[in-house]
Amino acid sequence: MTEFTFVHTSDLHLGKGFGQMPDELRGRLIEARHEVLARLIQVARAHNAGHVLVAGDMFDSTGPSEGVRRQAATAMSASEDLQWWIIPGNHDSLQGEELWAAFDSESGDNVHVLREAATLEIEPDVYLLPAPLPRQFPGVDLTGWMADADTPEGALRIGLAHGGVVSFGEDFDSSALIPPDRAKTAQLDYLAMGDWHGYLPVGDRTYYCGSPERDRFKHNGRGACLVVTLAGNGATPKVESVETGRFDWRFADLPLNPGMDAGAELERLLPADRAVRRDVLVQLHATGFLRMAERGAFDEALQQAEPDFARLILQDEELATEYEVGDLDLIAVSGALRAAAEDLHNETQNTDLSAEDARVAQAALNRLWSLVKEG
Amino acid sequence: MKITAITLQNVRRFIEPVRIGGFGAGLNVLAAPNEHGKSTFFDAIHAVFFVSHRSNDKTVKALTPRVGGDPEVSVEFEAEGAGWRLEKRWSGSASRKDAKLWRDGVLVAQKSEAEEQLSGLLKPPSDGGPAGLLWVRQGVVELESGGEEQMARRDIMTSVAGEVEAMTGGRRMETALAKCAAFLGLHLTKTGKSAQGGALKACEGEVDELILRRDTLKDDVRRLQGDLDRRRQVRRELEDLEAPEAFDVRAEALEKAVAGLRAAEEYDQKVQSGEDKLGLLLARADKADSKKVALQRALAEKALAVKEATEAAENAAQGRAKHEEAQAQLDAAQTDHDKATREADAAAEVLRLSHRVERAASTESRRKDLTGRIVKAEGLTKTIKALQNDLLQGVSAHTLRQLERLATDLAVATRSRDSAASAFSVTYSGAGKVRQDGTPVTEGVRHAVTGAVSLELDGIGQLEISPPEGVDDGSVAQAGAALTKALGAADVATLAAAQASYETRKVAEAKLQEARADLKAFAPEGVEVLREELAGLPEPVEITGTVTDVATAEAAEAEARQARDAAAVALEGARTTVQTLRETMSRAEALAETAKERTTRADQPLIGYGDAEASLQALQSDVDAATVEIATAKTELEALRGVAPDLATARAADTRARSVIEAAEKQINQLREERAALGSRIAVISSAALEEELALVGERLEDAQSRLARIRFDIAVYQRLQAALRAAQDSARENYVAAVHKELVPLLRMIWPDAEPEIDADTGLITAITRRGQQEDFEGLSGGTQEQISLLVRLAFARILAQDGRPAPVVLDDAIVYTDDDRIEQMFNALTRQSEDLQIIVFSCRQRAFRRLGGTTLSISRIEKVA
Repeated sequence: MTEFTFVHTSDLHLGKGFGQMPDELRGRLIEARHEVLARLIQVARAHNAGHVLVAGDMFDSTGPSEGVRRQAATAMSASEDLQWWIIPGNHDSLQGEELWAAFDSESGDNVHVLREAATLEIEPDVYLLPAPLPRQFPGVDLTGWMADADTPEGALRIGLAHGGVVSFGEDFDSSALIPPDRAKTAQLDYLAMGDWHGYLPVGDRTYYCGSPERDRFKHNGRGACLVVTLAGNGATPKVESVETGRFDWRFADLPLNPGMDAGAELERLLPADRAVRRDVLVQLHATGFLRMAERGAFDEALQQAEPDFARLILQDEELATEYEVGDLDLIAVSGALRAAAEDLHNETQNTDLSAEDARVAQAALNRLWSLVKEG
Repeated sequence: MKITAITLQNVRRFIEPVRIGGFGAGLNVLAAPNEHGKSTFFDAIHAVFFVSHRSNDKTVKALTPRVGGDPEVSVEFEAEGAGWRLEKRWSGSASRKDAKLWRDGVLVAQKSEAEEQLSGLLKPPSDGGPAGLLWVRQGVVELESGGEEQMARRDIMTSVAGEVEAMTGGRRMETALAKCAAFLGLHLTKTGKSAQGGALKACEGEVDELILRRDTLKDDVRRLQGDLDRRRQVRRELEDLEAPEAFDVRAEALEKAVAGLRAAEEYDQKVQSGEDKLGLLLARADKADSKKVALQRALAEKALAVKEATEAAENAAQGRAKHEEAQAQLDAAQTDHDKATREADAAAEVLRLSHRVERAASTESRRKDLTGRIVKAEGLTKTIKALQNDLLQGVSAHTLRQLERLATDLAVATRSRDSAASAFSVTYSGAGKVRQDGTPVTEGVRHAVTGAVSLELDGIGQLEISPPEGVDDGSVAQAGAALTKALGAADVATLAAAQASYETRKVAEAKLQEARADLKAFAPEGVEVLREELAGLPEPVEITGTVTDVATAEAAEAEARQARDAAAVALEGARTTVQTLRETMSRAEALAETAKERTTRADQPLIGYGDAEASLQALQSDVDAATVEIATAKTELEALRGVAPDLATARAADTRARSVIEAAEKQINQLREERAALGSRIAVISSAALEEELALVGERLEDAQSRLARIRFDIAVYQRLQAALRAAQDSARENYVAAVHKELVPLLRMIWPDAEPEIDADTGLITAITRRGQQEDFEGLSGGTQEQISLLVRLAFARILAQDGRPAPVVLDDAIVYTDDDRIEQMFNALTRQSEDLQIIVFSCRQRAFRRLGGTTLSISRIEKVA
C-alpha cells in the first residue's frame, strides 16, 4: 500500500476564556485559538495529508458558546479536501450531547464526531480505532477494546485516544489508565494521544502531539501538531512536529544572587528579538537573594521589558532581599528615615515573626528605598 | 571629612585657575572684600560635592563664566583615613562632562562611578541630609523674592529647619509619608474600611460579584447536568418501553392471560351446570322429603285431634250435669232468703217504733231540765249584778296600799319631827294632873313638843311650851294632808275604815266568783242558748202500734237480721256455684267444639291421599332415589372443580396484563412529554454556553482574587511602612530635640548667661528664648539675634554629628551679617569652641572684624594650571 499521511492534533480547547488575562490579551488569545484551525489545514495541505485526527478536547467545555462552536464547524467544514476525525475528550465528553448534536448539524460531511468505540475504515485499508470519552472521568481504560478489534490483514490500525498513560510521569494525572504498551498490545501502527498539552512521545508508536496553541506556562514554546506518515503495516511511523501556535508561552526559573546583574540575567532569558515579544508570554520564577539596590535595578529592568511582551509575570515570592548595613545608607545614613529603615530591616531578620509579616516588612523596606529614591 | 584645598577654573570670573589651600582642621577664615570671589568658592564647594557632572541645571549655569567655557572644580579632602581629590567638569557637551576621583594620588573612579563613590564618602543625599549642615550662607539662592535682609534671615531659618528635618527625616520623610498616605487614601477610608472608588473596593466588589456569578452558574450547570442525566434516563426508559421485544413480551403476556381466562370461564360454566343439576336434585329430594314429612305430620295431627275431641265432649256433658244440680240448689236458697228478709223487716219496724217512743220521753226530760236551768241562771245573774255593785263601793287593794303608804309616810314624818322636837313626860305624885286641851297628859309617856303646847297644870296654872325653832318643817302636815286627801278620795274617814272596807270588798269578790261559777255551770253558753234549745225541742206526738222496749226490740231485730244475712250468704254461695259451673260447662263445650273443628282441619291435608301409609312409603322411595343421585352429582362436581382453573386468578392475570400494557403506554406518553420538555429546557440553557462562561468566570475570579491579594499585600506594606516612618519620626524628634537642647544651651550661655531656649517638638525650631527671666518669641528678636541663634543651632547640630562619628565641615558665607562688633566677639568664642571638634570654614567680607576670629587664615591664589 502507499504511504498514509495524516495530521495528529488535540487539545484545541476552543472557547477557552483566559479570564485571568487582561481583556486586550484575552481577545488575542481567544482569536489565536480559533485561527489554529486554519493553520492545521495549512499544515495538512502542505504535507498532502487528507486527514486530521483530533485526539480529544477540541472544545474547552461541553457548553461552548454558539459562536465558538459554529465557527469551528464552519472552518473545518470549509476544508472539504480534508477529513476531520474527532473524539470527545474529558473537557468535551459525550455527555455534552447538545454540543455534539449541534456541532454535527452544523458540520459538513468531512467532519466526523466519533461516538462509538468501533473500528472505522477511513481510507482503504486504513482503520481508525477511536476511544471517545463518554464522560469526563470514565474511570476505565477506554483503549482496552482495541486489542481485540479485528481489521483486515495488512491494514493500517490507528488508535485515537485521550487521557493519561500509566506511569507517564510525576506530573501526569493520577487517574491515567492507558497502558504505555497499548500500541503494541493492540497491534496499532500508531496511537494518537491527546490530553497532554506538550509534545511527548511514548515509545515509537504512541505520541502526544500537544496543544496546537498553548494555553499555559507548563509547556514552553509555541503549540504544534504532528504530521504522521505510515509507510505500511508494521512500519515505524515517521513523525514530524510542525509549529502551529502563535503565542509563545515561556516559563523560566531565575535564580539570583547578590552581586549578580539581575537585569542581564533577565534579558538573557527573554527573546532577543524585540519584534517577536508581542506574542510571547513569560512567567519568571525568581528565587534567591538580591541586595536592595539590585532588587530595585531588577524591578526597573522588569518594568522596562514588560511592555514589550504579551504578558510578563514575575513570581517573586521566593526572591528575598538581602540587606547589609551599608544598604540602609542608601535610604539614609542617619535620622528618622534611617531609624525606620532599621526597624523594618530588623523585622526582616526576626525569626519570631511569621513569614508573612517578614515578607511585608521586607516589601516595606524595599518600598521605602524606592520612595526615597524617587524623591 | 576635612577639606584641605579647592581649585577653580572657568568658574564665573575665575577664567584662570585659582586655589585656596592650607585648610586647617579647626577654624578657617577667608576675610576678603566683596566681589573678591568668596561666594564663588562657596558655590563651587557646594557644586563639586553635590551637583552631578552630568547636570546642566541652573546651578551649573550659574557657575559658567560670561565668556563661556566649561566650569571645572577640584577639591581635596581627607576622609576615611585617606587623602582624596575630586575633579568635576560640567559642560554642554556630553563628551566633556567629566568627574574623576583619586584616592591617595591614585585615580580610582571616573564619571558615574566617581559620583557613586563620592556619594559613599559623603553619605548625605543631595538635599536635607546631614550635609546641609555644611551650609550657612548669606544669599538669595532659590528663595522667593523679597528684601535681601529678610531673605537672608529666612535662609538662615530655612537652613536650620533643614537641619532639623535631617534629623527627623526631612522632606524625604514627609514625601514618603505623603506617598504612603496617598496610597492608603486611594484604598481605605479614615476608619480603615475600603474606600468608595478605590481599587480595593472595586476589586472586592469584583470578587464578590464573580463569586455570586460563579455560584449561580454552578447551580445552572448543575441543573443542566441534572436535566441531561434525567433525559438520558428518560431515553433509556423509553428505549426499554418502546423496544419491540418489550411490546412482544407485553402482548404475549396479554394473549396468555386471555386464553387462561377463556379456559377458566369454560370450566366455570361446567361447574355452574353441575351445581345447577345438583341443585335440582337437592330440590327434588327436598320436595319429596317435605311431602313425606307433611303427610306424617297430618296423620299425627288427625289422631291427636280425634282423641282430644272425644275427651272434650265428655267433659262438656259432665259440666252440664253439674250445672243443673247447682241451679236447683240456688232456687232453694232464694226461697230461704226471701222468707228471712220478710221476718227481718218486721223486727226492724218494731224496733223503729220502740225508738220513737224512747226519744219522745227523752225530749220531755230535756225540756224540764232546760226550764230549771234557765230559772236558776236568771237568779244568779241578778246576784252577780248586786255583788258587782258592792264591789264598786269598797276600797280596792291598790287604794288600800296607797293609803297605807301615805299613813307610813305620815308616821315617818311625825317620828322624824318628834325625834328632833323637845319632849316632856309627866310623873304624877299626887292628884294634880297636867292637862292638855282639858285632857290629862298620860304619865310616863314622852310627849314631843312640835308646836306650841299649852298645858294646864292642875293647881298650878298654864304651862306654855314652845318647840325649838325649825322642828316642824311642814312635812307632817304635808303627809297628813296627802293622807287626808286620799282617804277622802276613797270615801273613807280613816285608814282603819279603809282597811274594813277592803275586807268587805274581798268578801264580795269571793261571792261574785262563786256566783259566776254557778252561772257557768247552769248555762255554760249563756241563758239565751238554753232558751233557744228549749224553743227548738219538738212538740210531743202520739205513737200507735206494737211497742216494746227497745232492748227487746233490738234483740229481736238483731236475730231476724242475722237469719236474713245467713240466708243471703247461702243464696250468694249458690249463685256463685251456679256461675262457676256454668262457665266450666261453657269452656268444656267450647273445647269440644274446637276439638271438633281441629279434627275437621286435620282431615284437609289428607285429602287426595287415598291410602295415606302407601303414599307415605312412596314418598320415602322418592327421597331415597334423589339422595343417591345427589351423591353422584356431588362427586362429579368436585372432580370438575378439582381440575378447573381459578377464574378470579385468571381474571386478575388478564387485568394485570392489560394494565401493564396501559401503564406502558401511559408511561411512554409521559416520558415522551418529559423528554420534549427536557429537550426544550436543555436547548435553551445550552445556548447560554454556561460551562464556557463558568470556566471564564472561574478564571476571572482567580485573577481578581490574585489582584485583591496583591492590593491587600500592598496596603499591608504601606501600612507597615507608614507605621515605621511615623514611629521613627516621633522618636527622632524627641531624641534630637533633646540632643540639640543639650548642645545648644552652653553655646547660648556664652552670649546670654541665663539663656534658656524653647524648642518646638514638631519642627525642632527655636520658638522662643528666655533671657533675664523674660521669654521672647523668636520672631520678635532682632535680626542679629536671630542669625546668632540660628548659627549656634547649626553649630550644635554639627557637634552632634561629630560626636556621632560623622564630622562634616561647616561652611559659613557671611553668616554673621547683622551681628554688631561687641556681640561678634562672643560669636567668635563660640565658633572657636566648636572648632575643637569641627572644621569650620568662614567666608566674610568683614575683614577687620574677622581678624579677631583667629584660626587659619585662607587666601585665594592664582595658579598656572589645575593639577
